[in-house]
Amino acid sequence: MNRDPFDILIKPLLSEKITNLRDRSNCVAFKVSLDANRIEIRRAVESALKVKVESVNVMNVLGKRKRQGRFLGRRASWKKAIITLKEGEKLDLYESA
Amino acid sequence: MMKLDISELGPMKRAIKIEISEEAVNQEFDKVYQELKRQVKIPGFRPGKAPVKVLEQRYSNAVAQDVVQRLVPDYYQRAVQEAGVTPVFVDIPPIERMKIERNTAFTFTATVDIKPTIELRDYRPPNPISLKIDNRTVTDEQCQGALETLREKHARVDAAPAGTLLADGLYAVVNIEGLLDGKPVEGAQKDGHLYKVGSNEPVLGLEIDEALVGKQDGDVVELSQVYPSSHPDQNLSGQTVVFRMTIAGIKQKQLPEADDEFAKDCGSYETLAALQETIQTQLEAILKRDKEDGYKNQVIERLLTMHYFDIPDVLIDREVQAMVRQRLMEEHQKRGGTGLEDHIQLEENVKRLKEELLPEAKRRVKLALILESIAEKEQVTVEEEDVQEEIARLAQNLKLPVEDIHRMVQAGGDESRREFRDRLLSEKALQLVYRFSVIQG
Repeated sequence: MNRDPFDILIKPLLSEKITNLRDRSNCVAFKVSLDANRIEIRRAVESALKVKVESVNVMNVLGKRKRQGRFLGRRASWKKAIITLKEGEKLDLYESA
Repeated sequence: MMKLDISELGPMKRAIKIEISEEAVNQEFDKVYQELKRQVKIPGFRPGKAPVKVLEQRYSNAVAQDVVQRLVPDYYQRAVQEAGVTPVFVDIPPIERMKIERNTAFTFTATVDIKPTIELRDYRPPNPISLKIDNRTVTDEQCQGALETLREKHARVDAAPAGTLLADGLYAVVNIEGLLDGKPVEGAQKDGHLYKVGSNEPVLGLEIDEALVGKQDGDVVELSQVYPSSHPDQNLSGQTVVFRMTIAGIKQKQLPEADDEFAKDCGSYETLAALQETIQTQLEAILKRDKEDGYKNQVIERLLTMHYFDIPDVLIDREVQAMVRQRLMEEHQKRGGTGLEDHIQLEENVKRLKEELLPEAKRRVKLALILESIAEKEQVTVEEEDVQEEIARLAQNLKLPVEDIHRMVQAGGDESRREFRDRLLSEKALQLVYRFSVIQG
């Protein structure tokens, strides 16, 4: 089953934390589909963005609890993937953000 | 840092091409981004922590414009200084349309109208401007005339001796009453009206001069007046109304004798001679000022005909526009305007006025330029004292407290203060030329 890579990669992440990370290692970050696994993500990145991937780290981010008066709610949980690129590869996310 | 390329477009037009170097452009970009960084909040970053790259992506257009806006006026100023031109009018292409990029030198062109270089002619000795002498002096008649006017002002109206017949120059007290079929007409009535015979002023729409001459106190005169059928009052239209005038008194103007007594009434003069002397000196002062104005006008005329140079059109345009505006305002006030004028008519008016005022505007601009260059050459300057003096003079003329004038001048802002000084400067320059000039008699 070959999914469209952009069904897996939902949107690039750009934040202070990730910017700092990029200064230390050659990596990019994405918000990815909750049901995607490392292998799928690696394939999606390699095929969609034409770069070689060194490793993929994923984590589940729990949605924040939000309260509106007496109603307790929760923001949607999501999956974050930090993808380290192979040495020499370059992907400037800022150009497509 | 900055490269200049000046080309002449005409005698008074220069195109200044200004090139700003790459480093300068980049520096300015950095500065703008640094400032922007502190102000904007970008999701994912604490305020002030966003990397420049991210900012560039989001705000590049706005920043580029900002950079242009900072660079252009600054460099323009420096370029003008370096090029050594005095612009009177500047045309810089709209900043919004300039494209600037990082890592490239930036070029823009300013078109300026410069002040013409004026070759001043001689006005100093040994070759001064000669003026036609103005030989007028205060004549005895003028003094006498002034005295007469004063007497006229102090005249009293007294009852004329009984039996005087009305004649030109006498005053009649009349009661008038309009009668229609023997019944008084409403509104057509006046009692105790003081009428100067020979003044030809209509009373209640009637001319009564002729009817009055030769009559005496107590006489009754009847005049009939046919009202036209178009008269708005229906009761009167087409009717003949008889006006009955009763002369209730005859008065004459009594001029005070021109003697010491009269002099005392006119103010703190002891004798008639003292009054006459004051009149004489006052008239002389007026004449002196008048002569001086005349001489100055001669100087102005000479200066205008002596010098030839091209005047930048922009200056003339500006002057014409200012004059038209003033003229329109004056007319507006005079008519007590409704402000609801026909738009087309207004436009036509403006066009007509522009043509009418063009020669005068040219004259004014030319004179201003000449005087300015004279002032520059002679190093005439306007000091704070001069300003104060002028303000004091204005205050006296307008009968306003000095502070008010001060406030008025200040209220106009820098622009009007500069104008004020400019005017004083021209006046001083004119004064200087006038002092050098020789009156030939």
